[in-house]
Amino acid sequence: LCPEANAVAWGDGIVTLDKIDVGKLTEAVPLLAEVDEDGLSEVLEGGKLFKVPRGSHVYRVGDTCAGFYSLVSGIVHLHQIEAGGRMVLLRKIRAGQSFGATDFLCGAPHRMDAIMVADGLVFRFDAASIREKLSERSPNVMTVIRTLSRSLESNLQNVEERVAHIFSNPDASLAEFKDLAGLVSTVEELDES
Amino acid sequence: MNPDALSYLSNLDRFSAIEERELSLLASMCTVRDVPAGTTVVNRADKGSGLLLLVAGRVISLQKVGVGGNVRHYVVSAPSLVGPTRLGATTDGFFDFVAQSDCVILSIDREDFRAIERANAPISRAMLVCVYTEMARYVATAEDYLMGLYQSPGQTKKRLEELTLAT
Repeated sequence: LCPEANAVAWGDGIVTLDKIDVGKLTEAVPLLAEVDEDGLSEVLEGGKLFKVPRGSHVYRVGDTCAGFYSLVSGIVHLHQIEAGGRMVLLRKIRAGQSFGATDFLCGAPHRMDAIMVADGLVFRFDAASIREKLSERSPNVMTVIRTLSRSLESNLQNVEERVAHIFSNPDASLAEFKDLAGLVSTVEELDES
Repeated sequence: MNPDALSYLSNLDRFSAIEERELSLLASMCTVRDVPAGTTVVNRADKGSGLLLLVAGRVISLQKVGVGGNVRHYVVSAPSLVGPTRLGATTDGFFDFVAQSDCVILSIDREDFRAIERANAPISRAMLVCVYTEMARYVATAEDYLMGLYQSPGQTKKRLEELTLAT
């Protein structure tokens, strides 16, 4: 996809598209699957490919949303830190999956931390470019957004399933939340002392 | 043309960026439903129930547990989509969606909506972006609710304890 010599560290810059095998990128980013070959350059010109090492944040809670992302390789965890300091995992993102789209579409700051837990490549669809092309009613960008909406439906299904699971088996869930509640009160007591 | 639907849509700030002719197209596909409080808007077994846009009132998501029990989850207030996972669903969902107050819902047939998506015509693109944005807002509500269960574990524990006693 991207010769190692052209790969750059997260935060140090980007891998420009002229150095990327666009064919391989298209295969690795399902959001591009339905875009016509002629339209790919329009969609990709506002995007950036980043090499992100393990342990780096792609974004943090409260960050301005710079766009939405497709994970080309590696693993990303979306999580929040709960009151007891424990990480609550919302979703584990694997290669080919997208993330950050809910915040992008809502026009809101990020509500989760996105952290790379295995070295990988992330393609970012830049917010400004996508918004500009949407305002121009670009059919190619619209195709990407339509594909993105399918992943939103899938994410929602997953969230509802998790919520339902917690309450469908209250005895089992109670043990987990008793531990969590104990942890939170302990931290609060420590803070007060 | 569906004047009632157009009137509701025209009054939504979130749809204000849509040109009138595009709004008219959207309105022409809508059926307006007045839903009294307590009515089930979407049943968890509904598949392909269409796109439902709540334009007045509030809807609560409920999960059936045990024998005749219900767990109340998140509330969505107008304007919002309702149960958008049912749009493309091929299996049962997890929640029923019940009107918490008297509601007005605009419904768009699933096939009509999918046809508009496939056509990807200039006239429908701003409207589709609005619909996808509403979907994203709905997903954010559900995700925040899930995270909230962990962010306030004491409250969740209490709810689970009550549920354990009830069942």
